[in-house]
Amino acid sequence: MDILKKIVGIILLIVAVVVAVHTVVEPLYFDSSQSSSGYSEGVWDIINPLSAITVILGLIFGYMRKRDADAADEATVTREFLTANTIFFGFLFIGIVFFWNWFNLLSPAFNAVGPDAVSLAWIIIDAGLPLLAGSLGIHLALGGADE
Amino acid sequence: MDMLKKIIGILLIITAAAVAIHTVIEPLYHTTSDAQPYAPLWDILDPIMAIAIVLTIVFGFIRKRSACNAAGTSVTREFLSSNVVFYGIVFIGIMFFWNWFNLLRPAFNAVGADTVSLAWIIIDATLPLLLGAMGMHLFKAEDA
Repeated sequence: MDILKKIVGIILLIVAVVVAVHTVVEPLYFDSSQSSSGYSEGVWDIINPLSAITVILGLIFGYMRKRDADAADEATVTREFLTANTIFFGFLFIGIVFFWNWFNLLSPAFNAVGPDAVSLAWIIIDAGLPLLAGSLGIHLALGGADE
Repeated sequence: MDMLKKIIGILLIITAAAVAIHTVIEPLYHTTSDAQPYAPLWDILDPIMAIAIVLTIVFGFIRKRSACNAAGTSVTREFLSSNVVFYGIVFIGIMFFWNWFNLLRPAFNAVGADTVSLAWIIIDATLPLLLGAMGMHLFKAEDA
């Protein structure tokens, strides 16, 4: 299980860096006139499924961490309690927004949401996911040594 | 009272799951039209969400008052959780009723479509967290 956690931790860290770096550099290299959405669709078509896997892994391993922290027999707010709960509920929030926005992108028949709202939802996801995935990734890769 | 808390807890958990799941899958099954930009299922879910918000504010306030009255000055888990859930549901409640009443009253059209959509996704992604957390707390009524 420890090896699995380390592998998942490294995957989360890599995806966190990829999402963060590409979000920041995209405006520097991509010409929006080259795609209908205005985004670098070829790259995001690869990153979005990776983000989906990251959200699911984050929810599973985040829940396991939260469950352990909640089960600790003490009433005070420890660092581990606060961190575990923030990461789990953060993943849940970002996960709902991510899948809603991604499925919206994949389903042209559903176009109730305007482009400005979609763009703002994307930047909230792309700025929030690296923090959550990076934090949980380091925790898992270090085997909980960051507690 | 414990049985009532358990029943309300289950209702809040079911509402949380319904809102989260429908938010995510709506783009996969609904075809947008001018008359019906969003799925008609929201016409059923919105009143249920309104009831869930009112219940969570009431029971969240009772929980928060109890946590704040507890002896000691340290920040306990119960103090932190009850305050986050109570003030979170008040914030989301204000946003929800503003957006819902705006939807129900076409004569008030000061708010742009993108702002309305963004407000909905903030509500629909946050409400399940708050209702789920409050629902689980009430369901474990002996701990409440």
